[in-house]
Amino acid sequence: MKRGIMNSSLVLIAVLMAAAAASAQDGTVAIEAPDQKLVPGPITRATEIQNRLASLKGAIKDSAAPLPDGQTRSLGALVMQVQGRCQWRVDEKSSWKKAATNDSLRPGAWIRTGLNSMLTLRCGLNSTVLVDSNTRVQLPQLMQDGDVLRTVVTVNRGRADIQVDRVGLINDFSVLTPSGSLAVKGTGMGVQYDGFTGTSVVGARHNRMNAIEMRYFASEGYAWLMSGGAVSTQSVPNPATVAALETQPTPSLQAYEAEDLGAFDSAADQAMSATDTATATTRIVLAQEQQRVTNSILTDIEQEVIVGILSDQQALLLAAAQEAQAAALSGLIEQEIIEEIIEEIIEEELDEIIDEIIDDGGDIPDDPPLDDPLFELDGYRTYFNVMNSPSDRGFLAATLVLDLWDAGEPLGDFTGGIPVDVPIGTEFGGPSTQPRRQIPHILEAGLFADFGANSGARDTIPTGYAPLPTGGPLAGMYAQMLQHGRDNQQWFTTGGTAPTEADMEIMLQIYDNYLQGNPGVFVGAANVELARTHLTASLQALYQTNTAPGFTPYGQALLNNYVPTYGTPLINGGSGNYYFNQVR
Amino acid sequence: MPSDCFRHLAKALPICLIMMLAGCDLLERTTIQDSAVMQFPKNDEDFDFWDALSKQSVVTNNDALHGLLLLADSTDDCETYECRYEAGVQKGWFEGSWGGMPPADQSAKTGWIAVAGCKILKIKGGLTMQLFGDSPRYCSRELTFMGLLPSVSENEALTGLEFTAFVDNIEDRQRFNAALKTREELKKRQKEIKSQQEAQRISEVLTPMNAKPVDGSGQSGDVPASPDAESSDSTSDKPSEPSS
Repeated sequence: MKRGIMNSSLVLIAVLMAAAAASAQDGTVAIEAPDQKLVPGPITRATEIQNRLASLKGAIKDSAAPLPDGQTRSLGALVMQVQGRCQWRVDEKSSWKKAATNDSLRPGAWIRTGLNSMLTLRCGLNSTVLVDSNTRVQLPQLMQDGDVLRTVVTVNRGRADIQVDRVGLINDFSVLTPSGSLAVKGTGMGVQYDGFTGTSVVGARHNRMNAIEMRYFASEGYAWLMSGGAVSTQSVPNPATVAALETQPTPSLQAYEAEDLGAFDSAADQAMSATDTATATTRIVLAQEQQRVTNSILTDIEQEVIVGILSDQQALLLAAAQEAQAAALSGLIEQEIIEEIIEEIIEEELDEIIDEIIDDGGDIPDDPPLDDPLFELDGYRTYFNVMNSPSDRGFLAATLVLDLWDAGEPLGDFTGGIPVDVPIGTEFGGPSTQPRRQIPHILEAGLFADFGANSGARDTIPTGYAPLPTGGPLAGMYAQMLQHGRDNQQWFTTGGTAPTEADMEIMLQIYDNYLQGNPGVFVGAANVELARTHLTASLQALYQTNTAPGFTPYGQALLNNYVPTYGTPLINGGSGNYYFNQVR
Repeated sequence: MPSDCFRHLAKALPICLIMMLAGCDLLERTTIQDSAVMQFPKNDEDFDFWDALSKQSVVTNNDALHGLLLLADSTDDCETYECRYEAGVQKGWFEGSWGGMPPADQSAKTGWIAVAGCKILKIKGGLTMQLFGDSPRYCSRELTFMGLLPSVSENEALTGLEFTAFVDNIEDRQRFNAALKTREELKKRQKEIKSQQEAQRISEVLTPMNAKPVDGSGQSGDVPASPDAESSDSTSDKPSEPSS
């Protein structure tokens, strides 16, 4: 009897479906109006990934607004993925650092990769650069000039793949090699410079770059990108992100100028030119031909592998999503939770997929630890770890510049220079003004006591605002710190951008370079650590960490008076003293 | 007549002598005393090693061995050239080379570098290579054919930058091989999945329809609980009767 009921139900459903199909065939075919939205087809896993990536990149586009004519800002580069052994340095004179995901690079940075290694960078607002193994790359220029995004990448040896996105601004992307300069047109290309072919242009590995971008955005960047381009908030304290998106004006550097500057009369070029012309030509033709074939095959394979893996995983994903959806319909779980679950499923599987795609090599030995993050080094760690937030470190860099700044030299909005005495008010129970150049007094006293005159520290410094040393190793260090402030005048300009943690790291790097540059004075790790503690002791004049960490009245006064990007201060009660805590 | 012959001989002799002397000079290989590996011999100095090497006018045997060991093993624990040479010999990189251990500071012949490349990539090569094993001459040709090496003879030397490019090319090829292997595995896996699905589909088609009781008594159609149930299974093959 029951079976009979089931059969009759099936027949009824079949009849209804047939009737619906017939009516659809009889009716007029609807032609969609131009403004009518297309109904999306079933979302496959590949399209899901593409949509997700597009939406994430869309978040970047929000921050790509044109600047007023004539205004420029410097952009940063962000390390998205490191595979194997990769290193970078701030400039030609700095020491190399082990590269890690989220490292923030400035224009002028140098990058090098080892064998079986690879590094991917998000450069500025519009481009992704994949630095291949055993490659040497430099980023001489990374800036926004009005509505133009100017980027120059130098490939000194090896290969770099470049992908340039359209973000609503004009893309001016140049690649320099020791034997020529190229402009990136379209979506990207791979540029290779080696001993056989010289400069050659090959197809960019877009699939690989997209996969890496996807992975990065899904794991690291999603939170801050989705926060509406928030650059510096306490809820999103990602200093690398801040550094990547923030601005700073630097002198313009045209591609041809950079090329002229280097002239590329290098030993490598000489080695190239030493080969016989006819042989070289044959080599180039053969190698280029082979490269084209190899690239084409590799791209095809990559595409096949990705599509294959995606299709394999698609069923699993859809099943999981349907299961979750069914649970939602039955009222077991709330819709929001379901969405989160689906999101997690996608992310987990993405990671797996991308791992499969990317990690096709064998076991790659990890880079031996070269340099820890500077804030974590012995001598610095105790001081910087107790600071309230990463952005305090950034503002500390600005106050350090202000403390050392020459009284007569214009700085940002302050065309008349920075006065010798800084008004700090009388509410703190001390003098109403404080003379600048506190740092040299404290720092040099400590250095002289422990390391003597060979350190460059002076035995006696006139009280108050005193001139900086004109010679010796310390003079160079002060000059470099001041130069960094000179290069970042936007900190001291209304409407400019704030300094970041990366700036303080640069200051520490300058100080460490000074220590490493005098190995005869700062012998051994213990002495280096001691010298570092002298710097942090002097920084206590600007930002104290002994009680409730915060800027001292002097540091606070410098920020309030000369750093417009500091924002509105509020008075907060500390334990025994007052300090200002910025609202962010 | 004999005097003419003697005169010609007298003229030719100095020329031959000069040519021989010049020939001796030409046969001498370039040497570099303070090559890249001498400056940066340690494993963690490999970045500087490659940088220095790329600026060298020629790659020495010591440099080449260090670079190839880094490529093959990701590490070179040897401190001396002799140790590196022994490591190279053990890997078969000097098969077909004559004259024993070449001088450390002398420019490396492309021939043995090519043999090392063939060994690292496990290249079988053509008929000659398969019959007579890896030889400098045929490995050079094979690698040239594959586009990993320019068309150079086995006795030529490479510049530092060229050697770096050669190492990069081998690395690219390794990646290429890995990608090919992945594709093959993927296709194999897809084929297996397809055959499994097909087998499942066939089994579903051939499996008799289950007459599951609607009342939820929990009796499985596969395991008949009673002879009656078995008999009901046997009837399930029959087409269902349309309800009236």
